[in-house]
Amino acid sequence: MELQLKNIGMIKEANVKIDGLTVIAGENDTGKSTVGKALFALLKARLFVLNSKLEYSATNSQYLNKIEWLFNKISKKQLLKNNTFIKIEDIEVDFSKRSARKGNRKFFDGIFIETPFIFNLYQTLSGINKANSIIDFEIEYNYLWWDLYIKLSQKAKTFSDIDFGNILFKIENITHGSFRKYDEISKDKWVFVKSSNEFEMDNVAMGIKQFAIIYALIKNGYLTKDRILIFDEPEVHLHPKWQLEMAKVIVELVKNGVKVVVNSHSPYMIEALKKYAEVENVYDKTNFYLAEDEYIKQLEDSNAVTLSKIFEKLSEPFDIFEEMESDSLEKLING
Amino acid sequence: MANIKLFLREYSSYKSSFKETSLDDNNNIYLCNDTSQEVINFDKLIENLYPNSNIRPKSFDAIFIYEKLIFLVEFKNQKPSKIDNKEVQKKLEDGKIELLKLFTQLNIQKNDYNFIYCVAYKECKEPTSRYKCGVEKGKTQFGLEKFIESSFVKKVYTENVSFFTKEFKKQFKKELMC
Repeated sequence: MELQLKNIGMIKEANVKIDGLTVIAGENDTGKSTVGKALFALLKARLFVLNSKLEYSATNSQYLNKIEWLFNKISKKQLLKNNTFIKIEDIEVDFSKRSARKGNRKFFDGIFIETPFIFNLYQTLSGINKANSIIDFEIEYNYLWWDLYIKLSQKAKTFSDIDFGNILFKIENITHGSFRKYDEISKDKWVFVKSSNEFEMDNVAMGIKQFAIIYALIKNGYLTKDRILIFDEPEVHLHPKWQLEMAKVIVELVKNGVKVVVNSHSPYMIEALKKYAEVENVYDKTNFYLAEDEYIKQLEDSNAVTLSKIFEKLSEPFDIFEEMESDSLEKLING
Repeated sequence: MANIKLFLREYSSYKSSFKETSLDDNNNIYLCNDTSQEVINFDKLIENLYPNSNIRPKSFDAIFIYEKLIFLVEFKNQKPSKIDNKEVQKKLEDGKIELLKLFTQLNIQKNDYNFIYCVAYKECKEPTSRYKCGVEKGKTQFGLEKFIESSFVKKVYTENVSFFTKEFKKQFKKELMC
């Protein structure tokens, strides 16, 4: 399937295939996260409307309003414009015409992983959850975190259609421990178990938390063929060796039928995703894109050409080191 | 007290080029094809001083002299990850000791000069290799850092050949045809 975006945030146009693994690389502030946010808002707002009791035909403006509301909750930047256009399969919103189509797929949903810090926000989000059920007052929160918190803390209403036993085992091997729901006071909390000791998630390494997110999403049944996992910079807080392990886990998810969109600016992560996708025979479902100059592009419709450009850009910092070496040489020679 | 010109005169038979001194014998590849710039073929000089290879010290490939700076140049037709740290260290250590012996014989005051060790390695052309070479460079670079700390040399540069070619032009206003 293809996600089409026009005039959203700093992106003028993006046509991104989501067939298995989609990797968008680029520097900071080039709009690569906007792709995932737009996709997430489109799917999530639609679910809100579908789950409401409103008449199907009467909900188009509700859908648009919900998307606008979600964008405000997701990002404080003014991403939406008067002529924003977002489309995936038969789901489409066109703000220039104020029109919306919700499409026919029932449980089509997005999961957005932005930061492993989510486990440190658990108490706050849990508090908001409780407060919302008691008081009639809207507390400001980031919806991306909120949605992920719900998915980490509560089981999905339907079971996953995939057996992920292998991936859980892999994550346990990487982290040398396992994760389980803390079942005393708050049943929504997770703990890390290592050598019979239990550690609160606030107190474990960020890298462990990053793997814990995948583990908890699997255990709670959210990773399915009908949900798109959007993973923003999965490399954060990971040593290059663990970046490779994370890439392996991501490719394994794809192999099992989960559609994953990854944003990255790590050469280790990008190369590992490419190599593991080849090893696991999912490279034909893998697409690489470069976020640059207001466009998300696949150069010459080729992964190879795009990857070459991505690595050229990722190597640019070494030019600065070379300039520094050059300066020191100049000092030596000219005194 | 003599100066470096005496050394150059004394060992003028070892005058050579970057091309000749950058030859990778095993693969018959020149890392630099320049024949315009004069250097001393230090490997050859040591070979002749120590005909018996069993007792021959290790040595760097070339010496390039610019005023008070003495560049000790080692060419490696390898990517940084393949470079043997111990080997490039030994070449510097043994080579500089031998060079200083020659200076002493010629009554050249070593303290008048700054020694700079340059390890020039193979180009990392592919974009995917470039970041790896950039990271791997640290391995060789910092294995040699101890020689700066102990003032054995003033500075160490481990870079690919094109860096040195570019710098040669920039610093000495002369194009090397590497």
